[in-house]
Amino acid sequence: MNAVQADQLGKTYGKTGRALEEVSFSVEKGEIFGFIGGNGAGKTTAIKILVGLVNPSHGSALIFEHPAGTREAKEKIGYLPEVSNYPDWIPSGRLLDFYASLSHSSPPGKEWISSLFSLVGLSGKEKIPLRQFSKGMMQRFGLAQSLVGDAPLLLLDEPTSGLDPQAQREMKDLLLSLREKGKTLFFSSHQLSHVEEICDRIGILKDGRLVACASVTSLLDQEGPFEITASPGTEALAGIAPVAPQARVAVMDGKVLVPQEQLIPALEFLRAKGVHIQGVEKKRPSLEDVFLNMVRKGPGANEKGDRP
Amino acid sequence: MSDVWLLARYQIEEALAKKLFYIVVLMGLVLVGGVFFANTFELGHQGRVVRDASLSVIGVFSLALTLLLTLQAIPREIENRTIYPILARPLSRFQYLLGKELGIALVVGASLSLFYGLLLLLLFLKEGSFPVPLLGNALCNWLECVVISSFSFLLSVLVSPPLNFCFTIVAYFLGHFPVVYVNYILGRIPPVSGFVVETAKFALPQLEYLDIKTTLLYGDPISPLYFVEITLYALLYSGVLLYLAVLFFERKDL
Ligand SMILES: Nc1ncnc2c1ncn2[C@@H]1O[C@H](COP(=O)(O)OP(=O)(O)OP(=O)(O)O)[C@@H](O)[C@H]1O
Ligand SMILES: [Mg+2]
Repeated sequence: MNAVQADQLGKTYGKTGRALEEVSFSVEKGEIFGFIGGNGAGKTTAIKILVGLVNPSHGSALIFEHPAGTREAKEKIGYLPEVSNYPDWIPSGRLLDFYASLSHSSPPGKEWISSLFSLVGLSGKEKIPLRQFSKGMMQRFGLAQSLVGDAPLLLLDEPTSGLDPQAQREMKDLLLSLREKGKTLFFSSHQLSHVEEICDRIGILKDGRLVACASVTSLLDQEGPFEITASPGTEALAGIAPVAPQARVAVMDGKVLVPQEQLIPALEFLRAKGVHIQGVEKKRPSLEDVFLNMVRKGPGANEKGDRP
Repeated sequence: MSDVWLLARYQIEEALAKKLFYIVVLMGLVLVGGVFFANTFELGHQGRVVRDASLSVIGVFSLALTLLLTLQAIPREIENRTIYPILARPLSRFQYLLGKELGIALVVGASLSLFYGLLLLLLFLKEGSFPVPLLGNALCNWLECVVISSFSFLLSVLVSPPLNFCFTIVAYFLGHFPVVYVNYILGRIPPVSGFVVETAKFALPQLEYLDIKTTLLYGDPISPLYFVEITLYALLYSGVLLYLAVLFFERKDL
C-alpha cells in the first residue's frame, strides 16, 4: 500500500495563478521522500493538498488509500507547516496537549507530551508560552506537534528551516530514527545535502511540474558530470563557456567539469584549441549539481523516473 | 462531539486571554452600576427607567462583546496560520466552525450572566425581591447574540473583517425594524419589489421578535411558549447560517 498516491494533481489559484500542473507521484510506506524545487515551485501547495488545506483544481491524492482531506486520511498524517506559528497565549505544553486530544491516535498522558519535548530538544520548556520561544525553538515545537498524534505518515514542509547547524544535524538524525520506527516521511527542503543523505527517493519540482521523480541513486547515476583533465594552467580552458555554458573551469588545476550533454562539444572545442587532454572521468554528482542542471533546462525536458 | 467541545474550550480560553475582553466586560459592569445609581439618586427611584437604561447598556455591551469575539475569530487564525495545525487533525471544517461558535456563545453567555447578575443584585438590594421576568430578557439577549454571531461568522468566511462589521451592524438595525412597518411598506409598493423586501427581511435575523424589553417593562405577561418559539427560531436560523458558512469554508484554500 502506498502512503501517498498523487494523481495528475493540478492547482490554479484564481484564474491564472498556476501553482501545480499534472503532478503524479507515489510514496511507499516506510520510505523517506524528499521534495525539492526552487522558491515558488509548488512544494508547499502540493503538501497542503495532501493535508487537505488546499483543494486541488485537478487530479486527486490518496493518503493510505483515503482521499486527502478526509478524517480517515488526516488520522494518518502529522503535518509541519512551512511557517511556524502557534497560538502564543497558551503554555506550550498545554497547546501540545490540546493538539494531542484532537489527534485521536495519540498515546495519552503527560509522559508522552514531555517525552516529545525532550525528543525535539525542548525538555523543561512545557510551562513557557510560545511568545517567549525563539524561531528555532518554534520550529522544534512545530516538529513536536507534528509527532503528537503518532501518525504513520509525516508531511514536513521545510523541517530544517530556522535551525542552527547542530539542530539541523539533530533533525536529520531524528528523521532517520523516525524511519526506523516505521514512519513514512515526506518532506520538502532547500538543504540539498540533507536530502541527498537521508532520502530514498526524490521529486524535483520546477514551475509546478514534476521534472524528476526517482531514487537518489538513479538520479545521481544518470546525471553525472564529466571531468576533463588537461595540464595545469592551460589558459584555453577559460574560453569554453560558449560551447559548454554550464562548465565549471579550474584553470590552475587544469580541470573542467561539464554536464554529460555538453561533453562532446567541450572536447571538440578543446581539441580544436590544441589542448592536450590527459583524461576524462565520469564524476558522481552531488544532488545540488543534478538539481541545478534540471532546473536550468526547460520544463519537462528531462522527464524521467524509475516509477512515477 | 468531544472534538467540538475541545475546540469550544480552546476558543473560550483564547477569549479569556484577551485584555480587551476584560476591559469591555468591566466597562459594561461599571456602566450597569453607574446607570443604576445615577437613575436612583438623581431621578428618584423609578423602577422602569432604571431597568430600561440598564437593559440598554447590557444590550449594547453584549453586542460589542459578540462582535469583538466573532469578527476576527476565523480571519485571524487564517492570517496567523495557527489554523493549520488544527485543521490538519482528524476533524472536519464543520466541527471547527461549530466549536468556535459554541465557544463564543458560551463566553457571551457567561458575560451576560455577570451583567444580569449585577443588575438583579442591585435591584434586589433596592426592592427586596428578585425581578424574575428580567431573566426572560436575559435569554432573549443571549439568543440575539447567538444569531448575530452566526451572521457575522458566515460573513467572516466571505468578506474582510471591516466589511463584515459594517454588514453586521446594518443587519442588526434592519433586524430590529418592526415587521408591522415592513408590512406597511409592502402594502404600498408593487408586488415584485415587495417580494424582494420580504425575502430580504426573511433572510436577515428577525431580531425584533427577540426584543421583549418594552413588553416586560410594562409588565405585560409573556407566555412560556413564546420563549420556546424564539429559542427554536434562533437555533434554526443560526444552524442554517452555520451550514452556509461550512459550504463556503470547505471550498476555501488556506
Ligand atoms: N494562496 C495563494 N494564492 C495565490 N497564489 C499562491 C497562493 N499560494 C501559493 N501561490 C503561488 O503558487 C506558487 C507555488 O507556491 P508554493 O508556496 O507552493 O511554492 P514553494 O515551492 O513552497 O516555494 P518556497 O520554496 O518558496 O516555499 C507560487 O507561484 C505562489 O505565488
Ligand atoms: Mg514552500
